[in-house]
Amino acid sequence: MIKRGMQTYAMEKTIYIADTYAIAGPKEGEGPLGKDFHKICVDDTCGCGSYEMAERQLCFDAVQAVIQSSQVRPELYCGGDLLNQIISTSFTARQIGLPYWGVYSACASFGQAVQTVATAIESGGIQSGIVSAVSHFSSAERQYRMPLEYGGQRPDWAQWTVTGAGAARISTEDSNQNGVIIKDFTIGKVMDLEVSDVDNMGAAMAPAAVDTVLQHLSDTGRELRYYDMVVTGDLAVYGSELFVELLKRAGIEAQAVHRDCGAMIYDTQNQNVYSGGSGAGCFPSVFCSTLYDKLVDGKVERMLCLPTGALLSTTSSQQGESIPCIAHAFSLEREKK
Amino acid sequence: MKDISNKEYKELYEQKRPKAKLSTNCLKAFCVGGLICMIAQAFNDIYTKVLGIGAVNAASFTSITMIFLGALLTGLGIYDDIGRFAGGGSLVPITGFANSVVSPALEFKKEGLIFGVAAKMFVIAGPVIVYGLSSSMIVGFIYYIVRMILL
Repeated sequence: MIKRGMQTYAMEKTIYIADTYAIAGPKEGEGPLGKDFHKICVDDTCGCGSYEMAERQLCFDAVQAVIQSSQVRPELYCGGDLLNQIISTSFTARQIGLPYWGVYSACASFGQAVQTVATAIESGGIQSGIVSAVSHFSSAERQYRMPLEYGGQRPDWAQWTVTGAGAARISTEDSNQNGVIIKDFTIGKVMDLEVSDVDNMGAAMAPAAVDTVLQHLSDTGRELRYYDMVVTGDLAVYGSELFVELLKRAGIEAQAVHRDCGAMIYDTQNQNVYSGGSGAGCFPSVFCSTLYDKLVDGKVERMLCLPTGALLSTTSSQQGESIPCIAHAFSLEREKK
Repeated sequence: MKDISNKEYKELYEQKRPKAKLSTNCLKAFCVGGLICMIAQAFNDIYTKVLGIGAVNAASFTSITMIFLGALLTGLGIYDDIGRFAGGGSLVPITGFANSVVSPALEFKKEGLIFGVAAKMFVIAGPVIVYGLSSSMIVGFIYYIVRMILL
């Protein structure tokens, strides 16, 4: 691994995202990306007794799918989720029995997991590992907000937690000949511009995403147009506007190449999801289906992925703290044949 | 990201934020809130005029009926949709109070009858009860003093 600039690390080995699997809930299944997911749950309990168990089931199914598609047994499992003490991921690890590193960067957990496994492969320690992240609307509501049946109102700039999971197998072997390689990654810094409105995650997270993009470009000496697509995790519609505006102020035109998973996953006009999707499962469920397919099909040659996370807790926000945020970047390219 | 101050950023995101539709929200709250009160009035009329119950008891029966309806609609998963549409219109009447007690009770059933249902039941309504009682005590005390001075 070669360090570039301050926060970016370039891979020396050829590391592939060899396979992915995405599962989504019924509402996500009805959205514009419904046809892309590998599996859509018929009901949001996934046949389990509680929403926490349902979330775990989503995670397990996705992880199990990418393990089974591998000829050799992966040597490491790394992932995260939003529930306290990342129980969805850790309980999945209990079932699959692989060596496990739990990570937490809120909704950017998938990015951190990719960086962790890529580092482990670069070190020569392992040849292949699994990454995942998951979230569930109902378990997140329960932990962070109000009971589901409570008749309150939220503002139009609030976001809807995605019910979904994504898992990927990262390996030095490209068993399916998909040709998607991890080029380099940029570890994000925690940014806090003192946004304290917990309904305004897009505004809280946009500066973190912008900071990581600017650092990535400065570290690698690339321009933004080097990438065909720059994908943020869950800024949603209104946070995306802020992302584009902040980059414009830094002299970079991002509108044409920028997409946001939170804005893509729902029909924000008609699905009653306020500004769009959020949650630890938002980026991975879109990345492991729609975005990965675009790379495999060659519709996108180079992609910069920026899962974004808000590192608050209910305790910190009740004590009047603002929302610290982070974005971890990794860049993907199609292998040159 | 050092070239924008926190204050400048606040101005930017508040300006970009979708505007709250104050007049439509008020109208919705007014209509739904009014409708809930009209239904309650209808029950009150039935209790007093048809069933011949006295005014004081009829008022209690009306409250009980409305609380029951609020709880029932919460259990059927309808009250949150009404709440999302009407905002304060369905939050302020006594049906909203029922909703705020029943919704956490339903939600936390998985954590058991003691640490779930019973412990979490007043998680939303609790503060309302505490400060409602406290403020009525303060008002009562002031009323008592004022009466003592004036009479």
